[in-house]
Amino acid sequence: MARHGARWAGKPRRPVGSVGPAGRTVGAIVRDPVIVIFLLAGIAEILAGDPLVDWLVLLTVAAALAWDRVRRRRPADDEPVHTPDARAPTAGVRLATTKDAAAAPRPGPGWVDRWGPARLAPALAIGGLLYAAAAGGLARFSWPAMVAVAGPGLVGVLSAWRTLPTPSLEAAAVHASGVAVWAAVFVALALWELGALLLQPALTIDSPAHPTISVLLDPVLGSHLGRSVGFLVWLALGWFLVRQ
Amino acid sequence: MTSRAVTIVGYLLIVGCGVALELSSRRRGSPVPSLGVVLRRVMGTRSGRVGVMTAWAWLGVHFLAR
Repeated sequence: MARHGARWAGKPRRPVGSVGPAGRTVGAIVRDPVIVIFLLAGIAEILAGDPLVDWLVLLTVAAALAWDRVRRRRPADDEPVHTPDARAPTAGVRLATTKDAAAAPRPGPGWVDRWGPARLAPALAIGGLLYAAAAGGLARFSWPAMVAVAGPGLVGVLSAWRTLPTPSLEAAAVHASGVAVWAAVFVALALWELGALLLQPALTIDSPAHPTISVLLDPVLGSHLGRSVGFLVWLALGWFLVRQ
Repeated sequence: MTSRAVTIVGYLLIVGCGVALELSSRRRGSPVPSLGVVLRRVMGTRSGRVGVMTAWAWLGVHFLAR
């Protein structure tokens, strides 16, 4: 009679290394929360019937990040190399070599960061104001307005792609719970917005009774002044992020 | 209270929580990090950095362009 309890007792565990290359590739992609979030958000945009540009941006970035992971074939590749508490190399984590350093983009500022010297700040501020004033005059839902957003947007994203992350001591010391409380705020906002969206008569029909953030901002962004202020806030936020 | 008012109050409460966290982070010895510090940590990897900047670009497209 077979001893069911002993059936698996002596069987060696399947070593991690026996997973096929395809499995390892998929695993590396799925382990990156940013890729997963962008994939899910892109799919949600499609289901909500949002314009092509909205979901195409999200899915394109998800695909690019996935490609980057596959290209480098190392799941932990984009983790900071020199963390303040870096210890001896452990399994799955490889310290950078001289060859890596030569092949990688130079550490330090990206395209946008080079514009950061203090002497350029006034020029950038004036330029941003003029840009916002001009872009705010463009009609909403028009291609010129899309171009006005796509220009700075592309520069920001490409700069982020090109810049080698330089983790700061202060940021590295942040406990996971500290990140979690902030994540909770953003998740709550996303869920509240989702609730309002689902309470609309249909996903593509706005509801004054259950307004989404877009619906609430529509009156503000309906005027030239409102859109200019919106552009200015958006540009300032982008500048703040680029400087991190 | 109308459902519209409830929805708006919900948004305001969540934003208020964010403001309270940011103010709390300014106190000496606070265990709560500021949003800037959290962003720097999130942006410490390529995917995090690209992800945050793409989210910013997407906000522009969503609210200002389309």
